[in-house]
Amino acid sequence: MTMDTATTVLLRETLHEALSGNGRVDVPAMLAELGWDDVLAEDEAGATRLLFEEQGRALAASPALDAVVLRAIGLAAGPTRVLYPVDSWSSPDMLDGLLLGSVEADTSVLTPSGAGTSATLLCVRFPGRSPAEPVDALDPDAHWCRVRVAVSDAQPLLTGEAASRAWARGLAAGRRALASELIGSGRAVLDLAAEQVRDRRQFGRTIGSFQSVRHRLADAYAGLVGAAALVESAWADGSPSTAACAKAFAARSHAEVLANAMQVSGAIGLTWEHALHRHARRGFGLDALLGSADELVTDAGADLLAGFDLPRFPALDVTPVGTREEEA
Amino acid sequence: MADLVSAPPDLRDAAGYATSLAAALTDPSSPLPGFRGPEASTTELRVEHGRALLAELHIQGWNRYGWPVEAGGLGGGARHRAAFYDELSRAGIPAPEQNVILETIGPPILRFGPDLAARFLPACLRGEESWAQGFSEPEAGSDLAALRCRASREGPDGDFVVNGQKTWTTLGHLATRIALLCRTGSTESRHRGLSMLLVDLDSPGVTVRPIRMSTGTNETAEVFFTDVRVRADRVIGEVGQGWAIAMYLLQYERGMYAWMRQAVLFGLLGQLAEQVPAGARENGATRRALGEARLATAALRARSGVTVRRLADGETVGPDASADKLLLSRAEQTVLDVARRVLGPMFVLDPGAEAERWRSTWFYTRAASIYGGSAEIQRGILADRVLMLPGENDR
Repeated sequence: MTMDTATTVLLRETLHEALSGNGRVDVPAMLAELGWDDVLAEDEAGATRLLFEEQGRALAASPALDAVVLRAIGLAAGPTRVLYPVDSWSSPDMLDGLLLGSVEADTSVLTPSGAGTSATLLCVRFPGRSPAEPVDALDPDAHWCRVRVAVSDAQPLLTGEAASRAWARGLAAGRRALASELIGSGRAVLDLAAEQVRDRRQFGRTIGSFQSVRHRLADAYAGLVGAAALVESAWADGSPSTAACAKAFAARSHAEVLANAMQVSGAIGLTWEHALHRHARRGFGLDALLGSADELVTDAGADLLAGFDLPRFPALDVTPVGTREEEA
Repeated sequence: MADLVSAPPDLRDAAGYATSLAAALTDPSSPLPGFRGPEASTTELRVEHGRALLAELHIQGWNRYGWPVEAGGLGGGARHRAAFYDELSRAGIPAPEQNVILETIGPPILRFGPDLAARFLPACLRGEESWAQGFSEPEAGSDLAALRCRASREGPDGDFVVNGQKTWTTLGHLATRIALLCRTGSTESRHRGLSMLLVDLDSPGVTVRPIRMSTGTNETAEVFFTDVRVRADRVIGEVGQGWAIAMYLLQYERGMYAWMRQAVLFGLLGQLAEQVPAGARENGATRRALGEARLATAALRARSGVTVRRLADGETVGPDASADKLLLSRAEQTVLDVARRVLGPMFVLDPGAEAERWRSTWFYTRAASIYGGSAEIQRGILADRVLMLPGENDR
């Protein structure tokens, strides 16, 4: 099932309004009130894209990503939150990663460890003896925390190939969602820049009439359009490699729109008051979660060298002839 | 084979068709696997390869899916044709060169000149004839509405007499007919005074000269018209409707053509991966470069897939399709820039046919940001009509 256009527009507006409220929005409570589980049952792909695009646009912070990852992993019961590993922090006996937002006492948190046959999905009760330290140097509004837990304090839930496959599903789903969040933030950046160049006048004309300015923003727009199509493809073919490409392309497109927007917005775009720097900060953080664009691009190249098999495009696999008026 | 409605159920939807076609293209008892690449070295040989391939595919009807029964097809829509190009590429069979033009001119002729489509399109599907698209002129490139090639009505039967010149006409010297965008109103009428005629290139008064491009091959041609008589029934649509038809056509040039190219580019990426020198395969820079190329192509595939789907559903694809064109030129040029870097000395020094194909394709991909509306034109369209920025002449 997919939502029709009217439902999509309505849901986008609802999410936009709910997420852009001043101050911190309790996103899980907001979603529960909306009956989000029913929305997901109706159109998981469409609803997830909308939620994360609007979260990115509003620069809202929430642990909504946890639910996406856990849903894809599909454990019947258990953890309600996710600890995202940071490779450069972790060691064989210490789990060390990021938690999106705070957790209540005695929360069950899922985290992966190892890879391939030595992969494990572990469950940690938290907070226990493990202190959480705020990670607020770059983007305090994201409310991320660093958590360190000894492997010996965690219970294995799945091991070996089963754990590896489950985490791959979680990764793919998480990357699709993060790609949408980057796209939402990128669109907000493009809108800010377009508004600025429509209003700002120099040399007796609006600066948006200068070709160099127009072309920078048009190029940025094309990148965001490509990223959005890739996310749609990644949902449709379900393949981890398309999900990885979608996240990498979205991060690249975000960086492109940001660079162009910062240039055409002039000094005003570089003030603390202007939202551009907050989108930059959020973008760098989202890029770092679940594989940066540089890492994913390198993986995509390695895939090609290993003899990558292009998934058949499922978008072709649709209504049979006779039930739809095809192009004459 | 009958039309789609009575075709085996597994061919009626594009996915079933794709699977069956994939099996046919690799069936060792059929002549089809014999059409596998590499691509021929000249435009003339590529068109010849296309003729033979189309004739063979036509016997079992594979290339007739996606075209209406009235025009020699077996029914179905753009999804079937998209699957056709994807499966050819997957099987390593170069798509017929002439279909690049068929895919851009075919849909507008079907839409605006169904009688002409019924008369001439079946021969294209059989591989017996091919078409050209007569748009650009020496003084009308990006500024297409400035074109001057003129068709004047003469005599009681309302026939046209055409005078003027076209240039950069893809496959012009190998084509049977040309869809000619020409002026039937005054020069000042700009885009309002244009019409499109389907003109036989063997008519008296037509001279065609191939142009050797930087690829080393004759991809395009100049076409000269001196008092060329064209019968009144060769108008596609109505007199004065030329610009509207050209704009309709551009949707397909930005949609299906881009889709055809992503299929080719994924094929090239596969070949490139096989040809990376042994010493460079573990190299991080090689992997990153290949990854960038794949990313650009994946975005093109995803986006042109969306557009093809919209076209198949009968939607009008608006100014947004200019984004497809920009993604196309980025993908084309990124893949071949990466090929040049990764292949290293082979690209520069090797005199062999394989290396020459890479070099020639590198030059071919430079055209992607120029033909069909240059990248600057596309950015202008997006700025004006999607981002709603002030116009370049606004104060």
